[in-house]
Amino acid sequence: MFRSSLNSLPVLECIIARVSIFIFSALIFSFESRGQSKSESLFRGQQSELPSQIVRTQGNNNNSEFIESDLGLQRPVEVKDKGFGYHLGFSSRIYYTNNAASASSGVGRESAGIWENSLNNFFLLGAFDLGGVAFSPLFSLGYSKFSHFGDDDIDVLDFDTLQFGPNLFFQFDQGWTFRAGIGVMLDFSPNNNMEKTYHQITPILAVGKGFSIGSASSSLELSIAYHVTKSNQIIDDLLDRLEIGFLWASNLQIKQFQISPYLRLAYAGYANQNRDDLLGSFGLETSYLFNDFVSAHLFSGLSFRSSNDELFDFNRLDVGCGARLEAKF
Amino acid sequence: MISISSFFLFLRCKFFASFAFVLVSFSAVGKPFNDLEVSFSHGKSFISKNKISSGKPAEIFKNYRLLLQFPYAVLVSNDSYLELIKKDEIQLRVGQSSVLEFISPNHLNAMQGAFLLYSKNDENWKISSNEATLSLKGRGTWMFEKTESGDLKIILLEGEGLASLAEEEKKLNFGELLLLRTSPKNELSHPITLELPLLLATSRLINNYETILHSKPRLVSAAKVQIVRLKKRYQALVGGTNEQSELRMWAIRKSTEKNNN
Repeated sequence: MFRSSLNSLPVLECIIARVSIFIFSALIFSFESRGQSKSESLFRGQQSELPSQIVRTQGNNNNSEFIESDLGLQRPVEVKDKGFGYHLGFSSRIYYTNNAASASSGVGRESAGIWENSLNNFFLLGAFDLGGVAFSPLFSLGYSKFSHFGDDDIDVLDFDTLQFGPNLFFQFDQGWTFRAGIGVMLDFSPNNNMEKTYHQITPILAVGKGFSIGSASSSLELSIAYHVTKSNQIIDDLLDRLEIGFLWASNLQIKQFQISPYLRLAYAGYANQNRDDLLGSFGLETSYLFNDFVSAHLFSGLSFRSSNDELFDFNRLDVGCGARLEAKF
Repeated sequence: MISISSFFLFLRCKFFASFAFVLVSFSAVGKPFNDLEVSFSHGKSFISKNKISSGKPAEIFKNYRLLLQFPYAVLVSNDSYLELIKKDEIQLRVGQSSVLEFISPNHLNAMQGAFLLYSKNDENWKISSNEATLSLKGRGTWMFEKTESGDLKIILLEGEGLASLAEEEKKLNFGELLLLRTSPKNELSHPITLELPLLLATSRLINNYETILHSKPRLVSAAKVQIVRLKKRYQALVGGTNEQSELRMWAIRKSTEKNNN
């Protein structure tokens, strides 16, 4: 049970972390931010899309000067000098899983409840125009706590995770993006004096493309990463691996509701064992946005691993709900 | 077999050819509006030898080369659009119902309407409106519009620029609007930053042309950077100018107000 859990949990955490970074970057670095609807599509020729109600502050009501001008709509804005920003998010989720240890079968395969609390910090270190390429460095720092319940012994699976790392985002014309980053992840056992049970350092390169499907915004990302790991096993770098991943995420907003499906497929080839894995996860999150700071969520996700050593095969279903607090500075 | 004298003759010819090329290249420096050619024309556009000429303006079409002696003017009719290019160095778009006078190879006079200018390299040039002449320096994509009151709106979409009026200088960053006020005296306003994605999506000078704007990738990256740097959007739009050369600001009414009304 412990072997399989140790082999599985980092993989799942990694997926969550990647989706989190990916979705954050898609929100921050694309034209999808809330309140941006009029500005979403560059060069689509929305000249007929004049805000329907424009009133002059003085004098006659006459908006013909907007219609007649070939310049386009000129809305004043206030901008930061360099674009430094800080995003703080706290998320609390409670969910049911049919396979808490991500085990293939047998006694290790147990259902449980999980209460997950996460604190995420994103430090946006500016936005720079490189003449045809927009460049933004980002540093992320997050701490998550996974508490299991529903069975007497299930709390042995409890763990805390600290994640941090820099990412460099480059945005090109036509929605193409390039990302280079290093992610560091450390796991601790809260029931064992916060002993460090696992860590990995992951350099990653990724190419992405943003596009629209109807009124939904979507992004694809192809990534290659190498995980340098250390775990409390006999061979401590047993989980070192090369991972090639494909991620699709989408976001459809209907009034206060947001529907966000995602799909991730990855191949992992292990350096220190004769093992190849195919990993997959797909899920759907439906959110209700109370305002810019508070939202509630219902989510479900199915993940699986198919390995050449069937000991490592598993599938897992998570279903739950949660709430998120966000603030941007 | 090649003799030594023929070899030196060949070298001499090559030297003179290179010298001539360098001379021609230098003569083009600082003259962004020399050798323009029509690359796109929708509707009707005309060229007139000069503004006081009694001769009838001649219609111009795609591939027409503007080889007239300065000054001359280009006139674009209602519902018409014209684009002039100089290789890949200059792209000058003239909007509908616009008149642009070419006073010299580096001096334009905005007589009426709206224009877009992209320059690949750093350029020094001038633009006039009524009696005021503004010097502009820099590389980038600019838009201009002469208002009904005779003032000139200048917007830098991407790149960096410096605008000078007599002793007054203003540095412009991408997305900034500067007004050349002509009443009660000629002066420059403070720059106002405009929302680039909205401007780019709604500008007919950008979207109503079949040709590709050379600076499109730069415009997109400037807009993306501005989105990340955005602090606040005002519920207003900039209009024309009044008789005192003040920008007219229009409030955007919120949808709730709209429903109530």
